[in-house]
Amino acid sequence: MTCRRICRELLWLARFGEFGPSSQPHLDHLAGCASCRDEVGYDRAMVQQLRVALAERIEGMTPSPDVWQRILHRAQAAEPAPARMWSWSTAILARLRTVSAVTASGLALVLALNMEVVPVALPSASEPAPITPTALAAPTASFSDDQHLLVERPPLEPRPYTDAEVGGESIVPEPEGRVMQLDAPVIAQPGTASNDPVAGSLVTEIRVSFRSPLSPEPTFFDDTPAVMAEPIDVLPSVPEAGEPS
Amino acid sequence: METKQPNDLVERMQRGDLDAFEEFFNTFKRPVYGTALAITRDPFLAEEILQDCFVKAYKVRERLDPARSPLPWLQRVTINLCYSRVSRRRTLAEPITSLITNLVVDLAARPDQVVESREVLEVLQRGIDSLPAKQQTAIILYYLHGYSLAEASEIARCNVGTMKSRLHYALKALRVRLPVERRVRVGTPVAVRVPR
Repeated sequence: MTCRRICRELLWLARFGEFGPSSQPHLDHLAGCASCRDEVGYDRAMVQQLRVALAERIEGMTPSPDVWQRILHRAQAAEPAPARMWSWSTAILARLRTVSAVTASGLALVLALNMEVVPVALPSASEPAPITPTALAAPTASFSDDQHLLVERPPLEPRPYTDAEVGGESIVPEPEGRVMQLDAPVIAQPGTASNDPVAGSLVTEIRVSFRSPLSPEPTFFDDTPAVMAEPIDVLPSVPEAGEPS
Repeated sequence: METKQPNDLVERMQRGDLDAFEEFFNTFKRPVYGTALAITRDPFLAEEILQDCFVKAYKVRERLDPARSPLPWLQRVTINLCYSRVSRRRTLAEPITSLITNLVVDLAARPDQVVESREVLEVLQRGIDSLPAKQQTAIILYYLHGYSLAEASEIARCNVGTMKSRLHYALKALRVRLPVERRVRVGTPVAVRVPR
């Protein structure tokens, strides 16, 4: 071990008074090394001077006699009011922070998902309850042939909006009609469907779907049916040559 | 801890007993004021900090643990108040090179002659002022108040090893500020170390 390292360790031991049986080599070195003795001696002298310097800072200084009265006055006077102000202001600020955070999160979500915000009109007591999709009767389906499935939609009720709500434009109920859904290949047999007549029916909407071999339910390309500009007649299915009618 | 508290002092204070609060103040004002004064070196500012500390103690008296001495908490609050105020006032320490130059002759002698030097004390005072806050706190707690390493580390909220390290580096920094030419022997060439 070098003299410099021993000296460093000696300083550490001397500063914190941690001399013990394991310090014997250091003490032996100290006995024979004048340089280390000087170092340790100087360090101890410096620590003594440090204590003196620190003591000088507070020597003879005491707080003024009236400091207790000032503390008492402040402790008694200032205690309740700030507590109330703190609780009120903190509660308000906390609520404002929560509302701001929720609003900001909602707006960020709308922007992120490119969602459209629409006003929601709450129905009043005098107005009839709006017709919800679940209130509509389920459409009935029938096969025209093995390639076409006809879905008959029940008549729609007039929408519960008033003319004023749509800017004076009159809303008329959608005409009753039939919805043709192209579906190929059709797995179900035509005989299982109803025998409603098909020819001459009006087709107002067309939806195209496909069937997966793994799923019996058809998957539509688009949930929104395309409303046809002009209703078309559905031609009766014509049996192929040689096929029994 | 150096200052002991009466057993039920904090409990009585928690019940709103102002006599207990006054007794509490008289019991702990000296170490608190000493710490504030040692850090700030300004009696007026130290007194303000003393007031702030005890007003705060009264406000949060419900949270004080009657089973433990409040002195570490009081000292910690005092130290925090001191540095929050001193940092706004602290100016750059003056160069001490000239003082060191004047000390060369004195420090060429033995350390026991050094302790008599007024200039060394001034160098040390300036050195203490220029120490980082954590090292300054460490030497005030350990060398001024005489807290043990465990007590000082409890107040400073660090472990004992960290407290030793802070003390070690504080003393090392102070030594650097003192001239090393103290080892000058007659006719011996010396390498002069420049203070950092």
